[in-house]
Amino acid sequence: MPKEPLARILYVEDDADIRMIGKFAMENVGGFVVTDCESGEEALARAPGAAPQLLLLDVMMPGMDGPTTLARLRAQPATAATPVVFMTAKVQPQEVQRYRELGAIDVISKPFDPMTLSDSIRAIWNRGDG
Amino acid sequence: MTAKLGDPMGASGATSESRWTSRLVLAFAFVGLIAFGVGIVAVDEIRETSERRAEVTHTYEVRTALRQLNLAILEIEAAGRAGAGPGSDNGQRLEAATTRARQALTAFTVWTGDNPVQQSTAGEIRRRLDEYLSDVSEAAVNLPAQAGFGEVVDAQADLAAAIDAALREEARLLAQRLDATHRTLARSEALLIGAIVLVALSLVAALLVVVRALRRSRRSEIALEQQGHLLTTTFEAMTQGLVVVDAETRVLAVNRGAQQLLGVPSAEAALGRPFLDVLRVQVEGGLLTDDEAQERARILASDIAAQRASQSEVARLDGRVIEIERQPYPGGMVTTYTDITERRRTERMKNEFISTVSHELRTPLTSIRGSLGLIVGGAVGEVAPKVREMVAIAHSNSERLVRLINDILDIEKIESGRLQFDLQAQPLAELLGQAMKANAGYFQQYEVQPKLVDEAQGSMVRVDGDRFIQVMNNLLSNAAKFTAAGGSVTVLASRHDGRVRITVQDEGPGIPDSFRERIFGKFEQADSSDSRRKGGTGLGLSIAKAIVERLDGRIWFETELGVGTRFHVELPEVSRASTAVPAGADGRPSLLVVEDDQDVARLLTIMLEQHGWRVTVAHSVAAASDLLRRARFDAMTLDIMLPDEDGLSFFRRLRSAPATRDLPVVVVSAKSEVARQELNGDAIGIVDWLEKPIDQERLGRAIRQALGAVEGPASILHVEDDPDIVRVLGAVMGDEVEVVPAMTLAAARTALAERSFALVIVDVGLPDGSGLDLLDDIRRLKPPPPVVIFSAHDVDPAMTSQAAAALVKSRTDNDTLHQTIRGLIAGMAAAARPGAN
Repeated sequence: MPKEPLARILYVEDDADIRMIGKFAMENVGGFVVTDCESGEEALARAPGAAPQLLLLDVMMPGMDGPTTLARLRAQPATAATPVVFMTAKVQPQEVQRYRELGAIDVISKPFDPMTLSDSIRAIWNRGDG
Repeated sequence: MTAKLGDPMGASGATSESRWTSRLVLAFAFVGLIAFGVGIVAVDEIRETSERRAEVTHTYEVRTALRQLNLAILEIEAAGRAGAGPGSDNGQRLEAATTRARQALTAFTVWTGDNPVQQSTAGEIRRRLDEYLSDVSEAAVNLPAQAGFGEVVDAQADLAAAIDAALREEARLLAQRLDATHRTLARSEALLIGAIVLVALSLVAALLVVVRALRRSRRSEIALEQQGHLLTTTFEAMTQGLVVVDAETRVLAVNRGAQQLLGVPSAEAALGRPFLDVLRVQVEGGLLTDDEAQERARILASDIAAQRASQSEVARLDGRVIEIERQPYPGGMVTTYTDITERRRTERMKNEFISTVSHELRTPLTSIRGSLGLIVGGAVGEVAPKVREMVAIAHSNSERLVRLINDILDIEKIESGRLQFDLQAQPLAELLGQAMKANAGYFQQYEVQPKLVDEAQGSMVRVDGDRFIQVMNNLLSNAAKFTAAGGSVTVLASRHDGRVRITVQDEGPGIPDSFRERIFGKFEQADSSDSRRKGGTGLGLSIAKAIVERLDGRIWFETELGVGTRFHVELPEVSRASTAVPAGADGRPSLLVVEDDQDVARLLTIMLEQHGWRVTVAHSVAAASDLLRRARFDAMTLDIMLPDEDGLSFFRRLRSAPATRDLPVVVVSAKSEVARQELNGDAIGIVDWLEKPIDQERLGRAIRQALGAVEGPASILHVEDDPDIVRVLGAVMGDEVEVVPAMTLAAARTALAERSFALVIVDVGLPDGSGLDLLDDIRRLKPPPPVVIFSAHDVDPAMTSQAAAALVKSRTDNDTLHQTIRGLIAGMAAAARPGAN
């Protein structure tokens, strides 16, 4: 069945510079609506209102890390089944494997290319095993 | 001080001593032999000398007889001349002289019986004597007619001549015999002198041997003593702990390192005592449980009995990690203890450091590269051309930095042996297609024409796809970089003797002579200006070479200055038939037995083949890894103590590799229970733990269950009194599993007794009691299936720790439930166990 086109992304990233670049790239290059959060807590608070179609989570964050944030988002009805993509600088094969086991449909490695980031996300979305 | 260290040396000392004893015996035997020989010769000489003397004496006797004959004749003559009538005084005188003459002649005849010359002379004398006597008696009667004595004189002269001849003959014989006697005496004298000299020399030689033997034995005593000191000092100075035990595990020697590590107050406290007593000191110190101590003593005894070397690691209760290495010697075992706590900590720190550095470097790089990328990509609007140019430089260098970090991480992983390969047989053409596509940007950037020529159509290679592409990326980007704009880069696939060769040909300047040797080295580039111009890290080819070699392949190049370079990668070709090995070519399930002990392996093989399964044996982790790469197995039995690697770490590795993650494993080991505790929660996918000696029935059941996971849908026992939840679970799992419901504890117990299940899901509140009561029943099953507690409320952590997972109904969505169950059945380390622990 044809998938609903991807429009709304919840983006959680603690590093302000990276968050700014990522949001800019996804909005201006990709044309997505991006709700950016600097922590897991903020994501939990804003997720119900944003009703995202995709979660883009940094893995390493102070306080609540990506996997924990995911587990907590899963407990909320709005994001209980929302596909998730992790974004991380740790991309050793066994780490990628772990992210997949945590439920990620894919992993985007840092540093990412802002000009092709949106294309990658769209490709992951359209592949649609989420 | 340590006891009995000199013993091994003592053995060699004894050998040298016995060698010297035998030399001494030989020396004296030699002297004795010579003396005996000399004695025989001397006796012979004495005999010969006395014979000669007898002969001389004999001659004298003969001459005496002749002389008496002469005297008698003179007497006869005198009596004759005086005129001796019969009965007169003179007549009596003549008669007596005649008798003496005849006696003397008889004596001569007897003495010379062995001499024919003298015998004939004796005959002659007798004749002449007879004539002479008749002449004399005639003349004497006719006296005083003196004139008649003329005839007598003639006869006497004839007789005298005959006697004279006999005397001359004897004189000749005497001279001859005296000469012979003298010669014999001279020879005896020479022989005697020679013999004395020989004996003296032999005695001197024997004495020398004795002196040397004594000296040498003293020297070897000193050397032994020194060696003993050296050994003892080395033994004591080692930071590692060393314990030597005999066949009954009694301690023969224990050095200071071992005393410290084992917590023994002194060597005397351990010497002569069974090793278990020594281990119990640690039990008292709270470093070891008594069970562990007994287990270790048991393993030691069995290793000694089997003369088996082993290596293992023990994490003590005080947090220290000790490596234990056992080396058997005839009659016991030498055990080395190394405290590797620091080493392990350093390894962990290094891994963490690399991971952290990689992360910490990447985070700022993400911002730099990201912002520069947005400017260069035009996403933030137009910028002045000069600015754009500068930003482009910064951008490309930030990308280079990213590659450098990736390459350094790769090199580190290759060197530490942690580069993991997911080997799968796949069509080469597909891989090459991917590689060409991945480098399309490069070709475009450098304006070169890519060409792909496949002369090895249909060939398959067993590679890790990502790693292979990494090699190709490196070769293709190099080729693109060094080929002038407008040129072409050709990729050629061909077959050579059962191997496939991938050739990447460029039209570049060729590789300078001086660089050819170093081209696969680290941080190597033809000249340093290259790296800036071409943007490489200098690590690419070194990584490519390491990867190709791990794929059982080789990489090399041919180059011609001004014409171009061809890089070749050759890999073994995998035939299509062997790419998908079914569960045994003959349709029988295929089992891998990993066991180092030949006898146990044979026993396991026999037991398993009786069930109709196909068995392949690997005696080491290396052999098992190799077999697992090359063929498909449906299940594996695993020993824990293996010669080259601990079975548990091998197991963990299997679980982290996608190809073997789901391989059902049955542990068959003398230390199953210890290993089970060590692995604790990570043992998912281990169907059963069997102790040695092996219970054949239980082994068969475990393997059947392991194969069951492969053969058909698994059965789950769902203990739940709410029919809606039973229906929901059935719907969630679909056809994947067969769900057997049990509404009460009693029904559950009946079901468990009747058949085996791959998993049991237990609700806590049941009409006839708590579902948790089932945990004990389940644990007693052989093998016990994993348990999921699925209840309305949080369960006591003490209970959940006995289950593979605990889920709370209201908080668990269908997906989680599905994943958890599927993961547990497939033996996956289902990390997604939200409620667990």
